[in-house]
Order: sequence, then C-alpha cells, then structure tokens
Amino acid sequence: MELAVIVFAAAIAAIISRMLRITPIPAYILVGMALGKAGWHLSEVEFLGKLGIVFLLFYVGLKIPPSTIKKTWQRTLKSGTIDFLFNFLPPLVLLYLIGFDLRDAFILASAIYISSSAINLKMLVDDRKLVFTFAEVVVLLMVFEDIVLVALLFLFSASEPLTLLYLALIALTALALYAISPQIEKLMSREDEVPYLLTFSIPSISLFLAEKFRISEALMAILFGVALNRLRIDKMLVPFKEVFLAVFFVFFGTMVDLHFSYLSLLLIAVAVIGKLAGAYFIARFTTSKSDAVEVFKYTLARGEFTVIFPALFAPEFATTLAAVVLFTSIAGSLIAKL
Amino acid sequence: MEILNMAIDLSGVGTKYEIDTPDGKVAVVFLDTGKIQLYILEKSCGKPCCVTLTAEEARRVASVLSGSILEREEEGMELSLPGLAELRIAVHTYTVPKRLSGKSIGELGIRSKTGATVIAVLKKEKTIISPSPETVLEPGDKVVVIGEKHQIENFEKFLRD
Repeated sequence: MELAVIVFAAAIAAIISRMLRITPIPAYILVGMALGKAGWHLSEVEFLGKLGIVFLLFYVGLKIPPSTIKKTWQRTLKSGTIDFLFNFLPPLVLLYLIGFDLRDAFILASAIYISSSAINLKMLVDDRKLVFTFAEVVVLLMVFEDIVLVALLFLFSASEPLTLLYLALIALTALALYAISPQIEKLMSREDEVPYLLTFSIPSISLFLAEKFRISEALMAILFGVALNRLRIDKMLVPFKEVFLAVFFVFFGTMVDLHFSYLSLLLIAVAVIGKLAGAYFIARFTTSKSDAVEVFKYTLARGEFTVIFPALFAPEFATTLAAVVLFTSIAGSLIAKL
Repeated sequence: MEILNMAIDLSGVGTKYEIDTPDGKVAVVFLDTGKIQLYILEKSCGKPCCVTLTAEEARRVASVLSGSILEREEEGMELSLPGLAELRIAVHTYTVPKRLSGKSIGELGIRSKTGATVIAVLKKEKTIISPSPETVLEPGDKVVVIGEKHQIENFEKFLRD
C-alpha cells in the first residue's frame, strides 16, 4: 500500500514538474514531506529507498570512464580543483569555526559541495547547450565531483579501524570484478532476462554485504560500478535507478521536518556563493570569462548527492540539507531559463 | 580553416562531434537516450539552433550530406560510394512485362544488349539474389538492375520496345 501511494505520487510529481519544465527532485522531496506530516512512517519502503541510493551510486560508478578521464585529466583537474577550493573548503572551515565538530563539518561540506549530475546534465540537454564549450567543462566537473565522492565515501567508511580490513577486501573484490568483466560480457549482451537479473543483483549484493560487514553500501556500490565500467550495462540500470531513486527522495522527504533554521540559510548562501565564485574562475581559466554565468547556472543545482550524505551518515542534518536542495535545484532550473 | 574535432566524450550525456567553419559551428551530439541533437551555431549569433532527430532521421540527413545518394526516385536511385566520388552507380527496379516473360535472363541477352546487370529477381514466393542466366522471368516478377546511368536507360528502352 505504502509503495503504491509513493510511486504513484512520485509519478504525478514528475508529470507536474516536467510540465513546469523543472526537475522533479524537489517535488519528490515535497511529496515525502507532505506524507511525513500526515503521519506516514514509510518503514515498508525504507529498504527500497536504500536500493535507490545503491543503484544511483552503482550507476555513477559505471559512468566514471577511465579512458575519458585519462584523455581529459588536465582540463578536468584544473576546473575540478577550483570547484573544490570554492565549494568544499569554505563550508568546512566556516562550520568548524562556528562550533561543529570536524566529522559533522566534513559531512555537511561534502553534501553541499557536490552538484547534481541528474539535474544539471539533463538541463544541458533540454536547454540545448551542448554545442558550447562550457557544456564540456560542466560535464567534466560532474565527473571530477564523482571521483571526489568516491574518496569522501572512503574517508567516512574508514573511520573505524576494523573496517579498514573489510575495505581492503571490498577493493580486492572490485579488482576481481574488473578482471573478469570481459568474461561476463557475453552473459550481459544476451537478449533474454539474464542481463537484467544480473544487473539488478550486483548493486543488491552490495546492500547485503554492507549489512554483514557494517561498511558503507554506497562505497561498495560505486566501486562495483567502476569495476564493471567496461560492460555496457548502464542503459539496463536506468529504469531500476529512476524508480528506486524517486522512492528514495520521497522517503528522504519524510525525514524532513519543516522549520526555519539559520543554519539552512547560511548553507544556502555558502552553496550559492561558492558555485558563483567557482564558476567565475573556472570559466576564466578554461573557456572565457563570459561563460561564467552559464557555468554557474548549470552547476548551482544540488540534488541526489547532497541528499545521500545525511541519509547515510547523519540523519540529524536531513532538514537543513533538504532546504539547500529545494532552494538550489528550483533556483537552478529557473535561472537557466533566463 | 576547418577543424574537425574527434569524438568528445560527454560522460553521462553522450558523445559530441563538432566542426568549426568560418561561418560558424556545427555539432552533432549522440545522446545516451538514442536521440541525436543537431546544432548549428551561426557566427556572431549567441543562440544555437537545434533539432532533435531520431536515429532514422539522422541517417537520412547523413546520406543527403555525404552525397552517397545523388538522386532518388520511387523505383531507383543513383549512388556513389564514400571515397569513390567519380564512380556513379544506378540501381533500379522494374516489373517484367508480359512480352518478355517465359524467357531466361540469358536468352534475353540483357547484359550484352543493354550493359545493365540483373542483380535480383523478386518472385511472388521468393527472392533470388544474383540470379543465374538460366533464371526464367515470369509476368509480374520484379527485377533489380544495376549499371551506369546510360546502361539503365538502355535497359528501360529494351523493356519498352
């Protein structure tokens, strides 16, 4: 019953958002907030929401292409570093100075640093911007942020000494998967249901292993994705990912309790100013200063990555970060139309 | 100056090919969704024009631009192969008239009389690719002939007279 309501409500939210030509992500969260206010607890779908995170990160891993990165590494590194300096360090320092402990400051800074690939890349296509060089810069930035995400997930997972051993095991498993991926290519290109079942099972296994070894399912999913990069299974994953991710956003919405907070305001300001300043220097050092506004428009929106950090590591920040996602994603969609 | 960039990988979006000309820029983006965006950005014009094509539509645009099909009519076309611009080949289909039916391709002496070659015979129940000279034509059969333009014209005359 819960699932039926959530998926149907998400479908309506998506239809309305697309009609208004904005991303459905804030609408999913709002649906969740409304259901949460109405007293729904959605424990039944919590598991599906988790699948959403795992499928998303598996997909992100599949989309980190080693060959492209090698070719464009210098360009990627240049703009990526500027982006990191302006969007990760300032919130980290600021939050630490106003009294957060280092771990919380780290989680919050990570969450607001990473722009939403789902929103911004779709906007580049829909707004017909791909002809411009700045669009390439934005795409590379998203790839760079994904790589940093892997590193950040590593950091958060390695906080306990025991998990280090498991981490090594996971890394070895990923390496083994990478090695055998050409052998299973044939299995994955069959015309029947086998590729779908296998594609579905890989991220699901990471959920099971996470429970067993108490290590981040997110990290495992993304590593498995990178390991299986050479197989072309990303298209098969899309339908699963879309559905589970929508469920996840709605579920996340129920964790949010609506109230005004200065911390949200502060983080929204940092999130906007950081991308604005970063965009200016990125444009200046890569294409031309005149592209700064465009780079800003297509990197402002935060979304899926901002939400997974509180969902995985710090539920107490769900409300604060939901405000950042709602503001930046709606603002990003709207100013891109100007 | 014309600069053709090789494939630009837009990870998570698709693959872009672009060409800079003195008049402006043309870009083709193969989206991961399977659709294709065709951009034209005229010089000194800030806003690009963009058309989204299906794979089939894109192929048609490509064949027009590459000149591989020079002429296309209902029953035939003239084409040139990439890299062999001077070679023009015409392909045409015709329905076999009653007058010629019951005879084999060899008996009719199609190649010696017209220069054109029959490369396929479409009968009601089956299609014969590369038919032998012994293949007998029947009324209602369709033949596909290949040759230079004037050889095809000869063949047409041969059918009529």
